[in-house]
Amino acid sequence: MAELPPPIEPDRLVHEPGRLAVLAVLNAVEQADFLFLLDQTGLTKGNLSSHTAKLEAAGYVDVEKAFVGKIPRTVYRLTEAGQQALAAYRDHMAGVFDAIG
Amino acid sequence: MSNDFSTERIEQRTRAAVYRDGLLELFAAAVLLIIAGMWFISPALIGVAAALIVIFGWRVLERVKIRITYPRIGYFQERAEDPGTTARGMLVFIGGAIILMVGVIALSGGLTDVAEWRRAAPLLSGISLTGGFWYLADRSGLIRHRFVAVYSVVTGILLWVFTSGETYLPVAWHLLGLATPLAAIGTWALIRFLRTNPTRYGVVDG
Repeated sequence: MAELPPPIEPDRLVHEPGRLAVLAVLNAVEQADFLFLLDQTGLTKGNLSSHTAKLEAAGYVDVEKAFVGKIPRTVYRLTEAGQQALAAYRDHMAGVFDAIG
Repeated sequence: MSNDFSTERIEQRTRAAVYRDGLLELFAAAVLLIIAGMWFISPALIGVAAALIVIFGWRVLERVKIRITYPRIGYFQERAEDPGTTARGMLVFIGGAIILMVGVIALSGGLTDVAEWRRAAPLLSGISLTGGFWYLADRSGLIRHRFVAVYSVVTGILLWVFTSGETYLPVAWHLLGLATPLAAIGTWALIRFLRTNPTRYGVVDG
């Protein structure tokens, strides 16, 4: 019997639904602030803070302090590594669902 | 967060949220009203009006968003399309519309008749604006943008069929006819947006 190739693990950082939602929202816009991410993902402030910190540490998200009018805003942007990670994750999951049938 | 999870759906919902405030429709209605108004007042100044709108209009829209939209749903910047691809797409579409217009005039046997060109002008306006709104509908996934796209070409065809071709004024009527539903849709969307998205007082930041 032919040996099956070793299973490829999905990127654990992306696999978490909250972080995946953040990546998907940021993939749809050029950049967005914390309130917009909060509004679109439906996460709590604490959860969102924690997820964005992890994504920033992994280099998937760029964080920049900026001003919108006179209001200070922390602006998040998906990096190229983040885009690649999201695309790879989608490909991986599509492959998994194809294999399941 | 819902268990029914799809990243594509989240992205689509985010793209639609960008247009939730109805300000783009109101802005488009104002632009069409200004251009149509200039047509009646002084057609020679339409180019100047269009240039001023391009230079200052987006800044005004952004200022309005800073006051109305961002304090409610947060700040975002739309993903920019590649300008070269957009310009090529527009050229191909408008070129196609012009070829279609020439074909229609040729079929009616009036290629040398100026009145036939004037008659077909609202058709060109209708098809060109349809392209813009169809593209917008593809981005936003919103049915109201698709409706405006269809409405634009339908009104363009109706004006082409029912006008005599004495003047180019039916183009201005087409722009006015398109500005009206845009203003109505934008106002409805804005009222709905303001009602369902209260201002988040206090700094909500990461």
